[in-house]
Order: sequence, then C-alpha cells, then structure tokens
Amino acid sequence: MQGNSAADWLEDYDDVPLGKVEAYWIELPVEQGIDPHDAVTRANLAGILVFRTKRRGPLFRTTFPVEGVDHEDDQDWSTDPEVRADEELTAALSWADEAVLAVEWVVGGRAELRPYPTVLDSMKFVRSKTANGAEVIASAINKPANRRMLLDTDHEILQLYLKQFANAQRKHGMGDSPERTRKYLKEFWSLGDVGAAEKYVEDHEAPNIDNSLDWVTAAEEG
Amino acid sequence: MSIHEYVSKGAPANAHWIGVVTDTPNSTKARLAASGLEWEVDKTIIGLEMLFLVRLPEPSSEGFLSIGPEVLHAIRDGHGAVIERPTSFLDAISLGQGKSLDEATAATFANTDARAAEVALENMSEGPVRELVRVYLESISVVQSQHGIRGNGERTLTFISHFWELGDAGVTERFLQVLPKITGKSAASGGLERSAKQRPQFEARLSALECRVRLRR
Repeated sequence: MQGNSAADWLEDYDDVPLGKVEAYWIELPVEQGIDPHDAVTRANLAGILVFRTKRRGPLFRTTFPVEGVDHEDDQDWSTDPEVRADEELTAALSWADEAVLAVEWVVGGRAELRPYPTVLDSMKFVRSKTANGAEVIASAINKPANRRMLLDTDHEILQLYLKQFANAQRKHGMGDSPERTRKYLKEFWSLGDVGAAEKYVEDHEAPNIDNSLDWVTAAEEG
Repeated sequence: MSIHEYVSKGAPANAHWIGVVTDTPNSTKARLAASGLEWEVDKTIIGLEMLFLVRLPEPSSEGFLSIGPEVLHAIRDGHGAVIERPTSFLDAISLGQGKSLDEATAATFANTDARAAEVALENMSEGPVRELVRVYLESISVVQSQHGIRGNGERTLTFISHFWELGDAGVTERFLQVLPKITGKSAASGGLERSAKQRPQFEARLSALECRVRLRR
C-alpha cells in the first residue's frame, strides 16, 4: 500500500458495495485497547460501515468478500490441483489479512483520515497555567470565531488528535506549549491520531537516567 | 464439519462476522433462530432487503474462510441444514389433526401435500424448530403447487426428514429432481424461479407478513 491515508488503505472499499457483495465484518481487537467510541468516529469519517451489536461492541465491514474470491489467472500457479488449491488458500488468507489490517489500522487511529487543516496554523492561543498545550488548542477550536473556520469533519478529526495528545501530555507530565504541540500535530499528522501521539511521546519522553553509573569509570572504559 | 457441529464447539473468543443481505428475511430469521448462531439484524431496511450480521462459530485466525461461505449459503439460501435433523420433533407431528389455516398467514400453498403437513405442524409447540420446519414446507410447497401434488402431508414430511441435511432449498431442489417420476412428466426448467414469477398471491402474502413483522418490531 502507498502512503498512510485512510483512502490508500481502503482503496478497494467501493468494490464490495453493501447489498451486492457479502463481506466479512470484524470486531474491535480487544487486546489493542482501542476506545470503541473513537473507533466508530474514525470509521464514520473514513466511510467504513459500522454496525453496533448489543453484546460485542461495534463491527466494521472489511473489503474481503465471503464468496467469489477471484484469483488472478496470470499468477504462477502450480499445475498440480492439490498444490494449486493450497496456493489459492494461502493467497486468499493473505488478502483477508490485508483487508482486516486495513480496517484495524484506520479505526485504530493509525491512518490519516483527512489532510491537516491548515486553518489551524493561523489560530492564536491563550496559554493556561493549568491546561496543557493540547487542551489549550482544544479549547481554542471551540471558540465561535475559530469554530466557524473549521469544517465539521476537520473539527471532529482535530478532537481525536487533541484527545490523544492531551492524554499523552497529562500522563507523561509534558508541559509543551500549544504552539509546539501544533507543530508536532502538523509534522506527524499522517500517522493518524494515535500514531502521532505515540510518536510525540517517543520523542519527548525523558531519558532513563542510570543514577548508579559511575561516570568516571564509564568514561575510562571508553 | 456442518454448521451445527461448529456451533456445538462453543463460541470463539475472537471471531469474524458476515453480513447477510436478503429479500426473504423471514426465512433467514427462522434459520438463524434455530441455528444457535449469534446474530443481530440491522433495522435499517434497504429497499425490501434486510441486513443480518452473523457471528461465525470459528476463531478468526482459523478456518473462517471455509465456514463463512457455508454459513452464508445455509442462512441466506437454505443450502445446508442449520441444525441436526430434529427427528423426535418430526416424528411427533400427528397428521390429520388441526384446523385449516388462515390463507393470509399460511406459509404453504393451499391444496398441496405440504399444506396438510403445515396444518398438523400448528399443533406442535411454538418455537424455532417449528418455524424452521415451516420454512422447509414453504419451500417445497411452491413446487407442489405448480404440479398439483396433494396429500395428507406424510410423504412431504418423510421426504424432508430424509433429506434434512440439504437445507430447505436443497430439499426442494432434490424434490425437483424426483418430480418427473412423481408426475410422469419431464420437470419444467428453472422451476423455482418460474414459480416465483407466477406466484403474485404468495408474494403478496409474504409482503404482508413482512410488514407485520416490521411493525411488531
């Protein structure tokens, strides 16, 4: 797959229209700790069909069809029917994995849903002693004058990113300014809201100082 | 492995679902209700079709590729049984009992062997197995109506019981194959499809039933 936009990951989505093709749906992978509400928001923004079950949380429709998996004839298939059947099964499983991964990636916050809203660059922020950088931005985009400048979808996506950044800054005690936060948002926007926040944490985490290390000894050792 | 064998293994911790879009939601619902599968219905109706979401009784990392189509064909199309033959239930149906059915609610065509079986079915306890048997009778009655096959219901029930594992549509297809011997004539081609176009009365009854189901929900 090229790039990291949701559109790239889901380029086959229109090939399996609901009502014409029966496809597989997936549950949220619980082990990844994805917030179901955020996952549904991302799915809606990306055009992934969602069904909310009573017991299993939201389901997301993939592009992998239940039947009629077409294998390309120009592949170098074996002439042995049994071997060919195995090869086709392997190819189908690979396709299925890719289709499932595409949806998981997008609803899990690791793909860019829409381009960075450049209107954010012109916003002015009022710093706060109690709120972190992301929280200041979140407050700013809800002020009527700023809100009017944002498309509804951009506002919704920004809230996803700012939620992740605010949590990261709060959890790791990071006191970045709103301007620096915005800079990071913009630079790593393409990683998705979760991906961008993880990158932020990775770059900002305080080094793990080994206080037991004898510096002289370490220096002598070269 | 059949669907009921998969279901009896128990629900997997992590599974895929399939979406089933059908224009015969009542039959689909009856098959699902009897199957033991986990399912839900999307109340957004797409035209005359309904979307059912069905959880596959197999972990997503294993044979879901083979179980997916199997469940789809059984649930949506009636090809393949969703439960083991309910032998004791079928044996307990007592023919010749029961009153005639209201045409608006009967699943089968009047003056068919299957209709007589459906009349007797009404005396059985309500439940998913009864509704599933009704789906089998409904399917086979389409063909019987076209060829004037009447009776007291015994031969239909015996036929359904014997070929149960084929599913309701599978049983009807098997019946179509034996039809020339029954009638002494060659079977009409595309029997089920042609009969669907020639059964406006049946379609009207089905639509009325579906409307009532939607209103109840």
